[in-house]
Amino acid sequence: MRLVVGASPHIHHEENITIMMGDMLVALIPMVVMAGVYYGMRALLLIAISMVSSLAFEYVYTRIYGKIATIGDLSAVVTGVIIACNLPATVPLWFPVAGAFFAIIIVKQLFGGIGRNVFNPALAAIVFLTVTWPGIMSVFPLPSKALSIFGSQEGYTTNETVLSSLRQGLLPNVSYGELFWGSRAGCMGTCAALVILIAALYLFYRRLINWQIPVAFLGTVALFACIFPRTPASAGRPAAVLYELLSGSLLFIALFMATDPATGPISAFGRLAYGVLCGLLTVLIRRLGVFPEGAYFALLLVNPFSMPLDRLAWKLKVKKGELLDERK
Amino acid sequence: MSKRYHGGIWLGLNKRPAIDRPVDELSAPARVVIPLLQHRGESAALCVKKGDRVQMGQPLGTDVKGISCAAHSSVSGAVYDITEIDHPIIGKSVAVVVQNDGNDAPFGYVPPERDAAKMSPDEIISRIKRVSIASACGPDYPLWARLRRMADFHIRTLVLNAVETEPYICNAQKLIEEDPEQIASGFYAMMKATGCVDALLAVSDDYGTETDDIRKAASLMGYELRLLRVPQKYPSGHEKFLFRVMTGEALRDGISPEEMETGFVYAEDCLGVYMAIRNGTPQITKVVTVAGSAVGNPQVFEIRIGTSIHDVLERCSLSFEPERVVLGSAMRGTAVDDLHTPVIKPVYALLALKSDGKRRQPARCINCGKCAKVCPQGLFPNFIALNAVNADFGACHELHIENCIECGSCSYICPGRMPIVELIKNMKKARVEE
Repeated sequence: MRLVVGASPHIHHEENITIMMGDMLVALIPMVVMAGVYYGMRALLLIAISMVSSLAFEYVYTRIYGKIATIGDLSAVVTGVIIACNLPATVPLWFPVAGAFFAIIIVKQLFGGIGRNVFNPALAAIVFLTVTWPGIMSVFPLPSKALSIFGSQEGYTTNETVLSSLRQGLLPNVSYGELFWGSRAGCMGTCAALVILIAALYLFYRRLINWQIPVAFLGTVALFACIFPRTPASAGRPAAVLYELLSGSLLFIALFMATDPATGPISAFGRLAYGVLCGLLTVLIRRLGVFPEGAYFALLLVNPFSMPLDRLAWKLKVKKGELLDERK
Repeated sequence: MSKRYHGGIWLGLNKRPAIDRPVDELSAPARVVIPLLQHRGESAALCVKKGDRVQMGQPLGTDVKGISCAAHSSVSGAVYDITEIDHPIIGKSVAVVVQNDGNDAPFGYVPPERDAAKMSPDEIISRIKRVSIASACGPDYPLWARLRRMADFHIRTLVLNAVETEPYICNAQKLIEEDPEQIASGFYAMMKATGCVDALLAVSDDYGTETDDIRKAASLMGYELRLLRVPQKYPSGHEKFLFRVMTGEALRDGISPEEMETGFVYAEDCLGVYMAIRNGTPQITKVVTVAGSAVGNPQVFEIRIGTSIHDVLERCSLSFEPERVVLGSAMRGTAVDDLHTPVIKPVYALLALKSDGKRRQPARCINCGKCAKVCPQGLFPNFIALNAVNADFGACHELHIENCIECGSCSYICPGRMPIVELIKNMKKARVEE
């Protein structure tokens, strides 16, 4: 009889990283479906390319450097889907590949693989694509099935996005219904607010995401929208808050990307502070920056603060005496 | 009164079917291995030599000065060998191997039966020392030394800790169900010995009517045994957290419950004390839950000390090839690789666990924060573990690594399977050695 001698505990919770990432994928399925409904096969093709190239880069990297293969934990697939969801449907087919390369190789693996990355890989990839090809990343088509599946895109109609209307101080010509169902000009998978909320509820139920970061993040943005509305005064403050929250990819970013475990704090205080910081920077960049969707940049800027915020939370905890210690 | 503490985990307890079966006596094996050291403190001094005939209950080693107690033979027969063993729980010790002759001839003098109510505390404690009861729940000092310490601190409350929140284990629950009078009487003797006035029975939520009998027995004996039900959340059975649930205030680190006028004893201690007062029988058996996913017939057994794990498992018929055999609980116990290891006094459970069939994945931290959520001490286990990987003593100290009670909740919950507790233990050990 061969017996294993290991350290206690000798039993484990059945959840592992693969299951967590699988749950994440389940929650992302509605986004993929919505992308398919609105933009047809083109969107699904882009998402598939993104997923496959992410997996491929992860596999190639681990093979080249002789590391243990980590593609089985599905985290690369999640990264791929999230990147694709945040792209407009008109991007060329090589676009997700560039994003996946940046996310997996540069942001994730060069920092030491899953859990060690300082920046959220998918987020960094989108920011990279946005600043490198701003022309491609700022054309948002209206949902249409007319997009050709493989060729370059022509003949689609664009519409002014809610964010650019808000920036000009105009009332966006998009109804609340369109905001909730996502049938507006925007990224492929991040427009349907209702779907995102339902998927996030699932994640919350599965304890994959915490409530602190999204609440603090969205709360801060909402607060500023309420105090300093960007819509015309005639529309009223609730409208300003709604348009601010549901525009761009803010909801998706706050619920799916800011809550990424690897790059977020783990203490309740740290999470709240992290969310507030994200919200503040989002408001600033949306109003003053060059790019309309400031939330990507805000989150990327706040990513490295996760560890210091936890350290701060720890210091406060020790000082408040919640941690009883004879050395004091 | 009860206050829940932060953290902790709900484990699947799987007490069935051991809980439905009676406590059974395991027949004595052909040969027992009895280490002279079975508790924290000093080892007993060897007083037999190879070839001697010994009776059941005869001392093989006598107690020495300091915190120590004698080691008794659990069978009658001849001393076959005297060796040194390295027991995974207690460490290196001289051990006496006794060949069983099957007669179970008891050892000589039986002290007269006494009434605990008429004995002085010192008499009770010396009687307990004679029978060398030790460590009902993991390695600890002998019972007499613990009671002496409680008496010295003039404790007010004596707690019968029957909270069992770890998977499979149900010793105390079975004992309380089967021998309520004996336990109540032994507990009363310990109350007398420590001079405390308040008696509390702490049980987990899943106890049903078992507690009625023992409380009735206690009230017949003239004391009230208050009942405290605590949630079945691991590690509620830990004295530190039980104290917090009881009193609503936390126990500061480095301060023992005795200093806060509270003492903890276990059901098996009470039973041993009862026997000691009644007829002076030394502790030669140990109540052990034999269970685990690989065990076909889990049951609570009364096992002769010195029986090898192999003999015990054979009796319980393994239904699967076990991957790990654990002495102690699944959360805190020690895995053994040698099935000839004897069952000794600190062993309260023997688990044979089959492999969960999952492929091993590399350990890594994805910073999900689940460990911090379950840590009953409110630490950040993942940060401590990451610093422990780098052997950064300063950072670990800053994160209060000393406050860790090594309950294993963080390692249990970790989706990345980081061996957090192992890292922390190694770190503490390295620190001590430095």
